[in-house]
Amino acid sequence: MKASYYITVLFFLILNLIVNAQNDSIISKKKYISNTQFTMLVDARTSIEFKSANVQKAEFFIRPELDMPLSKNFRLKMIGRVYTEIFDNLEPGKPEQDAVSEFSKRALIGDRLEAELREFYFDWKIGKHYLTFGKQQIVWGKSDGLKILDIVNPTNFRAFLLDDFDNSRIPLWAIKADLKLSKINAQLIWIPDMTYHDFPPQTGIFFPTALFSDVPQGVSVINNPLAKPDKKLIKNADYGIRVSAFLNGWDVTVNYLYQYDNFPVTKTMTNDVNDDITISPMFKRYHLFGGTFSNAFGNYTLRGEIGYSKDKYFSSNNSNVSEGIFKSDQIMGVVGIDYSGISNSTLSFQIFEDYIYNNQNTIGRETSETNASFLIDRRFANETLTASVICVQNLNEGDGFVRPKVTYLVSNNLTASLGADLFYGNESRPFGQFKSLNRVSLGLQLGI
Amino acid sequence: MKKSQYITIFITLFITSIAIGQSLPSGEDILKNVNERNEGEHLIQDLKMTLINKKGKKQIRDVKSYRKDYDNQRKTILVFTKPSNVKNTAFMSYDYTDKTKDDDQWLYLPALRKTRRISAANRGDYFLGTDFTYEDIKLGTKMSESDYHYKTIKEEIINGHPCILLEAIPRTDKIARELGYSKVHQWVDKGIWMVRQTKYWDIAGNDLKTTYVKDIKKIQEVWTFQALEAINHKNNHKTAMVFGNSDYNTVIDDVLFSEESLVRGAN
Repeated sequence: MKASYYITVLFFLILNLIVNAQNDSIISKKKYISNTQFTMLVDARTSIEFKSANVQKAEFFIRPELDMPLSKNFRLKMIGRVYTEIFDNLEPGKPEQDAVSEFSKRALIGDRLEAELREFYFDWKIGKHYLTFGKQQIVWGKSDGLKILDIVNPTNFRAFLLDDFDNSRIPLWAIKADLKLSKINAQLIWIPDMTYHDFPPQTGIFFPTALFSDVPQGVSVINNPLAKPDKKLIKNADYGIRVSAFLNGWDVTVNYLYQYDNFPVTKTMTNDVNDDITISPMFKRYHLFGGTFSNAFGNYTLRGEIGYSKDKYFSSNNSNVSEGIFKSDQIMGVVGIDYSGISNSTLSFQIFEDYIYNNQNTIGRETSETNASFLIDRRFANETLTASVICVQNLNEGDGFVRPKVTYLVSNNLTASLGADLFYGNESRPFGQFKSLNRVSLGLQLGI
Repeated sequence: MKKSQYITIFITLFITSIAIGQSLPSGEDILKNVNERNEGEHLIQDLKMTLINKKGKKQIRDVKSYRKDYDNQRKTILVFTKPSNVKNTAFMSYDYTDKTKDDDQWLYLPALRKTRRISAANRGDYFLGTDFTYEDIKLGTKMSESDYHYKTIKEEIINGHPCILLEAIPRTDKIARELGYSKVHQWVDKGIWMVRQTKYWDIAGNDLKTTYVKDIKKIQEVWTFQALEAINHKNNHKTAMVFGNSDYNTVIDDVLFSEESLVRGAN
């Protein structure tokens, strides 16, 4: 029986249970529904490349949002998105979305227009506990700019790391239970939605070439389609738990996620007879153990995040590695300090470490990768004008990016922004590969 | 004027001043009365904030606020509900009565979908673009015992209400720098022990701002101000806050004051 059948039955079963469990009168139900909020954000953004002076993108978003209380303890949240990029540079043509499940795909209308149900979930309060089911974003972690535990939802990489995470995170069909247990909170998640990172086509300007292997020239290549796990909603779903507490001034969490890595590995087989290469991208499962902490000391806030991946697979560019993939444990961590001792300003410094224990020439990286980030943010004129600069630098090879930005509140509902995205470093590196795309961007956002 | 006349005038003034001084309660007494005024254990309110700059440009923000008092702490949540570009931004604070303990504060930023721990030390910073500092917001119409020395000055009528003018001087230079004030004058309504008006001077001793507490009513047996206004004299910026749907009767569940709750807009 198809997965869609199970999901539909489960969805309506839960809905029926909830509706029947509500004892509100018709009058009170009307009262709740009258508190419905409908809002909309309209975004227009354009970027011009420094090098070529070409318009790199001109994109428009319309993001309607509905927040509808259905009873005292039950509410519906729905967020849609209509998106167009006039120059079709980020995802040329109709992207295949082959890493995205049928339920989570964007509806593509021609090459330049798409519509997407971004989020659609019910929030049910049961005593002190909450059950959230439907399409949603589940965000873990404390770091900014780079992700360690914020990997429950996969990412759309059409603009590499330049899109706001809220826009680039791909919401998933999931059930999340937030349980209040004395002084701790436990979050349990079940994600049957088999959606993984969505990379742009290789013709997309932000296709991350440095993260994928090069095929030797003159060799015949057979590219197998991306192999996704079987649609087994229990066996192949992702599962996670996060336990959080506020202990003696510390915010702490302990996290565990059993998931298919959102990043595919590429199995490479060489035909001994004619030297043809068969490339088979696929997803592999691993265990992620982690935790976060944060606390404030005077003008300083200390925060950190750690993730230990057990039995994770990586793609190798070493021809001696069997089938081009290997298994290793990996540890990633970040420590950040925010300083707010200067009025109306925030300074933030983070250092990230990422280490693969049994590295065998992983594509696009070294055994140990260290990145640092620095953010300065200053607010002027009663926060109507904000200036910020964020800089992320890889300390191994010196590639990175700088993003200065000024945001101005033109009127109550209208915000204008002017910024630049400046990559630098070796072109074979994850950040340096995009330095020819350095750009200045102008944006307008209208809230309705 | 004869010498005896001078002496008579001096003695009269001296006796009068003693009499006035005796008729006014001390700063400590006023502080005690103000801080012991019933504010209800639970409070849910709607708040409309209007920020107006010197050119008359307005920013209007709707906020839902929740406050619960415990034995040793007060927990507060403010959630922005309008306009849509700030919707779901939420601020949470645990304020402790033990002054040796730093308050704990969090800010939920919907664009990141993350709750950030923020420092409570910069209490003299202005709260999200308003003319109220984080400390002003925290105190409401209460008075800080640990930050100031208080002295009663005189009685004055403010909007038809007899008030006692108190002068508050920060206890140390460090506190003054933290708060951003070198001197504060507060007019306390001696009938209901609520501050009706406050004038602030900056660190350099210049006029900084004046705040006005307006439309005070008894709601569910609790004296409640329905409007608050601050005028910054240095940049002519103004913040008007209008409160509505004040509810002291609904019991707020402890579970509301958590990071998880901020993520769902304290719903």
